[in-house]
Amino acid sequence: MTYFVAVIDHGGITKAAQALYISQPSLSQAIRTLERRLGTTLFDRTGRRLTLTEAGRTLEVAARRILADVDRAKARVAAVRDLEAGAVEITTFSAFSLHPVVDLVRRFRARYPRIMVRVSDADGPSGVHTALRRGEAELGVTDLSAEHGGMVAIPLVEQHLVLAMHPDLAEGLPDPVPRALVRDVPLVVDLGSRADAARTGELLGTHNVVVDCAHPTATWEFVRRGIGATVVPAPLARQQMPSAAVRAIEPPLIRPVGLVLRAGEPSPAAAAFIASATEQLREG
Amino acid sequence: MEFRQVEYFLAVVENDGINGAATALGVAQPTVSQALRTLERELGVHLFHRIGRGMVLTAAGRSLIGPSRQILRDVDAVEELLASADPGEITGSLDLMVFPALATGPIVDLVARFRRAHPKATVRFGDLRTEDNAPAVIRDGHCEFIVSHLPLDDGGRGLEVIVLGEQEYWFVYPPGTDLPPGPIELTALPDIPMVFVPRDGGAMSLEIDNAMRRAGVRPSLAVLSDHREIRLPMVLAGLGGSLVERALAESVQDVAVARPCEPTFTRPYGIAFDATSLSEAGRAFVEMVRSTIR
Repeated sequence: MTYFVAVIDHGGITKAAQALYISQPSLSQAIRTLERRLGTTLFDRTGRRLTLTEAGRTLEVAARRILADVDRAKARVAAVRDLEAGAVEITTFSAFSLHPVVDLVRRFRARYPRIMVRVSDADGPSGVHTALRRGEAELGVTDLSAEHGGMVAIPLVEQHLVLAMHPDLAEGLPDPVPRALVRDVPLVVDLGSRADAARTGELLGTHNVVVDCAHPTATWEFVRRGIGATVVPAPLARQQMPSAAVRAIEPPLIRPVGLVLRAGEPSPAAAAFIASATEQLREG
Repeated sequence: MEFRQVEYFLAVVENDGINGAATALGVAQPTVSQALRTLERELGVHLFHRIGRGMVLTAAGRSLIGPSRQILRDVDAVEELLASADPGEITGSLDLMVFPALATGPIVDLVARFRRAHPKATVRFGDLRTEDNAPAVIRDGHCEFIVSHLPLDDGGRGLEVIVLGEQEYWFVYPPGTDLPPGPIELTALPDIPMVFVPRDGGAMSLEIDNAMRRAGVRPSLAVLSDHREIRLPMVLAGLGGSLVERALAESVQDVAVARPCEPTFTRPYGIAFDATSLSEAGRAFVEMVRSTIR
C-alpha cells in the first residue's frame, strides 16, 4: 500500500523507487504483485505517463485511509510507550490510600501530566496480591512486612503510627503513650479492616473502641469532635486533623511501606512510577 | 445452638478462615474447627465450602450471618445491662451502616451526640456498600439502622424513615485556581484534570454522569480511585478538581476553590430502621434524632 501510494505521489515508478530507497525493478514487481492479488489493473501503462485506472482510483482512496489508520495506531502506541498518554494502575487499601499514595501520585503526575493514575481498592495485603496476579493492577502499595512470595518488592517509607485526638482527651496522657495505657483511651478505629485490626490489635481493650468506624472521613470528624482517639500515620494526623493533639506510642508502631509488582519487565508507565517513587525516597 | 458457636462462626467469616478466627479470638485452632463442625452437624448443613485451605461461605452460611449478628448484639446488651450499676443507663451497641457518600456531617454529629449522652454505649459505624436493596440489610439483621439516599429501594416496606437532609454535589479545585465567581456549569467545565471516584454517589452520581454524557462533556482525568477519602487531599495537593459533597466542599472553602454545580443535583437522604425490633440503644438514638431534626 505504501508503495502504491508512493508511485501516485511521485508520478512514476522511477522517482518513487528513489524516494523509497529501493530498486526500480523490485518496485515494479511489487506493484504487479499487488495487481495480481487484487485481480485488476491499477495503472494504465499505455501512455508515457503512468495514470490510474478506475480501480486504481478506488484503491487510492481506501489506501490513503488505511495508511492514515496505521499512522494513528502507531502514534497511539508510541504515545503510551513514550509516556504521552495512557494510565498506570495501582492497587492499595485504606491504610495507605492517603499516606503515602497521595504524595506518590502528586510527584508522578507533576512529571507525567498526561498519564492517568487509577487507584483501585484491595482487601488488605492479600487482596493486593490477588489484584496483581489477576492483572487488574500493575503496582501495589502495601505493607512490606506481609508475605510477598514471587513478587518484586521495593521499599519506600516507614509509616510511623501515632494517636490523634482532641486536646481535651490528651490531657494527662504522657508522650509517648505506653501501649498498655492506650487500652484506657476511647478509640475510633475500623475493626472491619483486617490490615488495621492487625496493627491496632494489642491497643484494644475490651471496651475502649467506642466507635467502630468503616469510613475514614467520618473517623476524622469523630476525632475532631472529641469522641475518641484514632491511630493514623503521623503525616496524616497533621494534614487531616490539624487541631488534634498527637501522641507517639511506646514501643513505636512502625509499618514498612513499599511497592510490589509481578516479576518481569514493568510497562513504561509503571517503570516511570517506580522511578519517581524511589527518587522521592532518595530525596527523603 | 450455643452462643460460643455463633461467636466462632462470625469470627471465621470476619477473619477469612479458621486461622484468623483463632488468632482474633485468642483460642486454639482445633477449638474453632470443632465448634464449627458441631454447629454444622446441629444445623444439618455445611456453612462453608472447604476449598483447599480456604473457607468459602455456602448459601446456608450466608443466611446465618445476619441473624448471628443480631444474637450477638442482644447478648451484648444483656451483659452490659447486668454489668452496669445504673439500670437506667443505656449500654450495648448502636449499629448503623452508612452509605459512604453520606458518612459525613449531620449523621456524624448525631452519633457523636449520642456517644456523649450515653458514654456506656458503643457504636458500629459501618459501610453500606450499595443502596440497591438497602432495606434488606436491616431485614436480614446485619444492622439496626441504614443511612441511604431516599426514596429507599423497594420503598422500604415496613421500615420507618427519618429525613436527615439533602445531599448536593459541589466542585472543588486546587488552591489558587483562577476561576470566575459563581457556579460551574456542568456543560462548560474548566479545562482542569479531575480526580473522580467511579459510581461514588450511588443513584446521584449516575444522574450526574448521565447529564455529562448527554452534554458530551468528557473531562480529562488525573486520578480515578476507589478510595473516596482521597478526593480532598488530592485536590489540596494540586492534582486536579473533584466533585464532592457540599458540606465537604464548604469545609475547605478558605483554602481551596469551591463552587456549586449548575444545574443543581440534590437528593434527600435519611435514616431507616425497623421500629418494631429496636434495641434499647436503638430506641434512645431514634428519640435523640427526632428531637434534633425538626
